[in-house]
Amino acid sequence: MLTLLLVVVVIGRTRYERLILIGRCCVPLRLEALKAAITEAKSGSDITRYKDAWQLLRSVAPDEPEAKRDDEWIESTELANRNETTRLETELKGYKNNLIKESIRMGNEDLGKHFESIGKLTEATDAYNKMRHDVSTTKHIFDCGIHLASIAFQRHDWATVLSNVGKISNIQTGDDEQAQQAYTKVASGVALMGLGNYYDAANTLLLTNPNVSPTEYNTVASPNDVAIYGGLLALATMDRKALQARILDNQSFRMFLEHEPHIRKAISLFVNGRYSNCLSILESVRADYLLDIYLQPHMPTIYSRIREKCIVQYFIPFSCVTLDSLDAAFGAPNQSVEPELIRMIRDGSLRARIDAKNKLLVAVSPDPRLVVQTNALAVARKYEQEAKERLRRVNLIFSGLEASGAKKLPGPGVGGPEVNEAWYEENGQLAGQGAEREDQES
Amino acid sequence: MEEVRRIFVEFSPSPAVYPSPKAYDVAAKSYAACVTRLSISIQTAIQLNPVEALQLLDPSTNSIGCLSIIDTLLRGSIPETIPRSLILDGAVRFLLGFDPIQIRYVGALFRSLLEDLGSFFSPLVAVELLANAILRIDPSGSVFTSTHLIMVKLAYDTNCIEPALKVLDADILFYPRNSQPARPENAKHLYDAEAEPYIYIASASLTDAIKSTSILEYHLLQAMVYISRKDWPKAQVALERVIGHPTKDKAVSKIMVDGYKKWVLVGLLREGRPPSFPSYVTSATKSTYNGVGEAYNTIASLFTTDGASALKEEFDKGRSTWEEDLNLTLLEEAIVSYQKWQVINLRRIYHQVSISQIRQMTLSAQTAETLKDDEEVLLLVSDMIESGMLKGQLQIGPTAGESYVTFHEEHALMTEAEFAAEVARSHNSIQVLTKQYRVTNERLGSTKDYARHLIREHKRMEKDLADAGVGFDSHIEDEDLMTGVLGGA
Repeated sequence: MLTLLLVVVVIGRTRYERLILIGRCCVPLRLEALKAAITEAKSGSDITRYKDAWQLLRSVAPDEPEAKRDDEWIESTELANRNETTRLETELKGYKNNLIKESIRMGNEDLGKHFESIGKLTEATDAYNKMRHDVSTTKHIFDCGIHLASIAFQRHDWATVLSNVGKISNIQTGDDEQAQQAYTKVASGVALMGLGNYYDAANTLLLTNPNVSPTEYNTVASPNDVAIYGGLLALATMDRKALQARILDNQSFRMFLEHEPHIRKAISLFVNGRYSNCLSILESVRADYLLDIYLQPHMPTIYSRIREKCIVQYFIPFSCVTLDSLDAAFGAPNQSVEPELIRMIRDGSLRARIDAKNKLLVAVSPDPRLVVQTNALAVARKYEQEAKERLRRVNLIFSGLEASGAKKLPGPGVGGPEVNEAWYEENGQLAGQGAEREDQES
Repeated sequence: MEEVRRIFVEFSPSPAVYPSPKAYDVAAKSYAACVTRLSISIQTAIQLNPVEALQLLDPSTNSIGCLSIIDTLLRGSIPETIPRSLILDGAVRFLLGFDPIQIRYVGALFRSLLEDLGSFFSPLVAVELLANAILRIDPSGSVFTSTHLIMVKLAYDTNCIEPALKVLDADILFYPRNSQPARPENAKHLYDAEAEPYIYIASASLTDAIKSTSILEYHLLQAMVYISRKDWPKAQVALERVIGHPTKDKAVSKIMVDGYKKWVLVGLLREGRPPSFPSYVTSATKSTYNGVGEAYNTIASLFTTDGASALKEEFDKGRSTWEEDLNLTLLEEAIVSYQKWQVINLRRIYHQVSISQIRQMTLSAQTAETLKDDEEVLLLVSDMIESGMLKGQLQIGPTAGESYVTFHEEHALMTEAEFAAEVARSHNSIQVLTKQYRVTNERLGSTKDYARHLIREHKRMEKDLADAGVGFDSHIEDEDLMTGVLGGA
């Protein structure tokens, strides 16, 4: 139920997408979610959406009253959409004939909005892009950017989101600058997360201004989402000191965290070294987060990173730990952490060795003397070898004994490096003589 | 026979008898010219009395005459009553004891004797004699001669490797310069015991003309010799000399390509991962290698992954290629070593690990499956520890599966004294190298090319000096800045 509540906070077209996601993935909530999605779709004018939601619901619960296809609505909406498109296009044409810049821009904006609402995203992008020709104030540029970013969001095209948000993030508009900053931070944070760039995403989200009303950015995410995304990503990418300084002691981000006490608790547990508690809190909310539209694809990576960090942190103060105690702290019942440890050691994220006989995890503590000796000898040997090789090469070239391409015959393969087949021919001498001849010429 | 005796004992081989080294040089030259062009009657006289002829001179004091006699005897027909082994023994005595300075006066004859050794002696003896002769001529073994190639070919073809190793292990640093005739000032140093080997070897014609292919072939065969001994590090060094051979016009010879293919496989065997190119291989050469050795690169990149089945598949798929390149055995060796490297890599994860765990975690690339039972794994691991491939210790448990392997550090800690000795050795050899660098520098500095370059530089400098007339103190009007000074520059 928590999730459904969360969805309600978000407005705009992502709301439908969130509902559909829940309907697809979550058995206990899907009926409710799909019904809500149908209502949501019907309140707009996107027929495809309605059909999708209806089909999902029909396959899940054919007996519900909503599972009956509302053809009447479809037809009437289709007609209305078509009329509206024609009307707006004619209007735009009129503006264009009159050459009034502002009207053309508004016409394009209206057309774009209309296309967006009926689900024709490509046409909407075109229309919004055309707005850019006729902008006259910074506010217009900003609007245009937001429109384009919002379409890119719907397509999950994160790179485009970032480029559009980037274009507007430095515009100074005066009064509502703070509000715009909040939008750009949230939007680019979510897009960075979409690209898998977790550390930057966390950094961006942490800079969101909490005093701005959520309505500025709730087309993208709610304040709860900001807290969850920012908190989880920071937990996955930052060390304990940074977490303490930049999250727990960060007055502005604290306000977001108040919406999500779990996250705050998990972070403070992590900072205080109580890793298993931290993980169990995260585990308890995993199901909810899995139903989040932006978080879902990244959940496994983010969670496993946090887990790895916990294990690494847990192990730092010890020189050796029994595998049993690690199992107790991190393992699920009847499941050892050993395979996970092996993977982490292989990746290099955990500097330790497993002692399978005594069931221990032993820290690697290289003997500094050995390291110095090995390095010194390796350097000396390498220097010696390289010096010899270079001397040899100098003398080779001095004696005119380079492998030479002989005479290049006109034919196929001219231009590229060729393999000289005639290796028993007298290339060496030819090369030598060739060099001599060159010398004389120069 | 009296005539023979008269001709041969005419020369007194000890330099002390002569008033100056110059006089010795003159005498030795005329003596060498005389004994290398014997008249038919003298030759027959020698061939009729081999025993006497062999006893006439001591090989270590009068090597010039001795060589002539031995050459005459080996190539001519001797009376049937005399066993041929007598003459061969004489030849062996000569080759083991000849005087390295005198031999410079009869370099061409001596070289032709060395070239034909394989037909006179059994391969094992011939290789031994060749190696000895090479090192007597040039104790450092750092100059490449045509004899090197003859020796390594004979050694590799007949599998008589042991005696050749002392020559193969020496680093070759110099090459006789054959594109120019021996300079007269070099020729007069033939008697100089301190002369650098690369000077007298070329001027005494102790080597035939060298081609770049001879050098490539030598190093490739050298690598093959090491490969047959499973001495991967040395094989890799030799192959790096092949693939890194300086080239002109982006050309890559076929030997170099062959060398590259072997180099990739040897790298896998040596380090368990694809080798990385030495710094001096140019990017054009690299891309040629990558193009022609694609099948090998695929194998190499699969070698470090868990994909034993993919590796096996790739190996089976390219069987004809491996056969064509004569690399099948080497490749099979690499495939066998795949599992061994997986075991070795476990040391990065485990401090101690049981045999049964090793069995579950490693795959054989021959079957793309785990080994059948723990006994087999135990055998594999103990073999690896015995051969020194794996540094570790086995603790035999009640069953094979409960036996444990303890991995040791890759490098053992040295005592300070050992470390100091090792550092001193490196220091020493680098100092020797520095000397050789100086020599090379002088050698390069005295060439025509360098002189021409210097003159050109000098001219350029003069020109620059004339142009750069804008000193700090010279006064330039602002308006002139754009027109006068910059325009002239």
